[in-house]
Amino acid sequence: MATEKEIIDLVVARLQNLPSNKEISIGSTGEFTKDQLIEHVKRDDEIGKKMIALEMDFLRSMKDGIFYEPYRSSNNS
Amino acid sequence: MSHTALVTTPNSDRTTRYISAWAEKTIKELESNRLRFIILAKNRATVSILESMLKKHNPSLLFLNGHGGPDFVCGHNDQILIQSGKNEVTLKGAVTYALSCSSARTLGPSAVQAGATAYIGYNEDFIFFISPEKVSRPKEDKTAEMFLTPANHIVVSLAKGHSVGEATNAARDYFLRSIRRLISSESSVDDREYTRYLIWDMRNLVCWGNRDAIVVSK
Repeated sequence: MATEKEIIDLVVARLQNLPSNKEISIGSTGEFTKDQLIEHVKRDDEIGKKMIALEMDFLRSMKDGIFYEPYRSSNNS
Repeated sequence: MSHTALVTTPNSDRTTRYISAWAEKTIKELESNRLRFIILAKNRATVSILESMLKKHNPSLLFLNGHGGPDFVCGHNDQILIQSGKNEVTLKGAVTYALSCSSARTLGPSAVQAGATAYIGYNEDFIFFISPEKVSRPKEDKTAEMFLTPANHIVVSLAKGHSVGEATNAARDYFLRSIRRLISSESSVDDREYTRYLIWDMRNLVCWGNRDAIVVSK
């Protein structure tokens, strides 16, 4: 089981690969550059936690084989 | 069935400017002759105007663009338009698609409980990327297009007579095609980085209510 710090380091490393000339829009929290996002993850604040949740969701979706089958949600939809 | 669609397109910050510009582009390109779109743009995207238009036109489709939270969706200047426990009953009899953060979590089921035909939205934040140099011309932003075209495909599909369930699946498939294109060798290394954010949006797109409902006949 990865520690919290290992997860943060992993997410930071992945965010480093984002293009520097783009911004990410995260709803009403606003728009962020790559460097700002990395700072939020390092601080482990609300936006940082959101980015960590997104990365974990991505890893889960890989495990589900999302690239190979038509995606159908299992919830109410 | 009224064959009318009400669309809110607020424009009070960069994010709302983008999603509203792409909503209007989608509707314009659709050139639907079966569904009449009424756009409440900028400072007309308010709760009083929306409620009045809902009563007057009894739309079969409501396309809400704006910021949101688990139990609400906003209009211009972040004024709350629809809120769970307050006025979700105004969605009664209509299919709603909210391109808004996380409103499908609480407002979606609450609206259906109050009589909405269906509610399509996102369980978490809707995330997309923009090119800062395109901020004054959002419709030319190819990076934002990767996210907003699949998201708006819900409306395209509904306007062509597909059911709520079919439209939701069609939009997910559109996301998936974009994702597969990004992981192929055709795309740039930078573009591949957007994959996980597209997956996030796709996985959080859900619908509540009657999946077989339509907003216009085929």
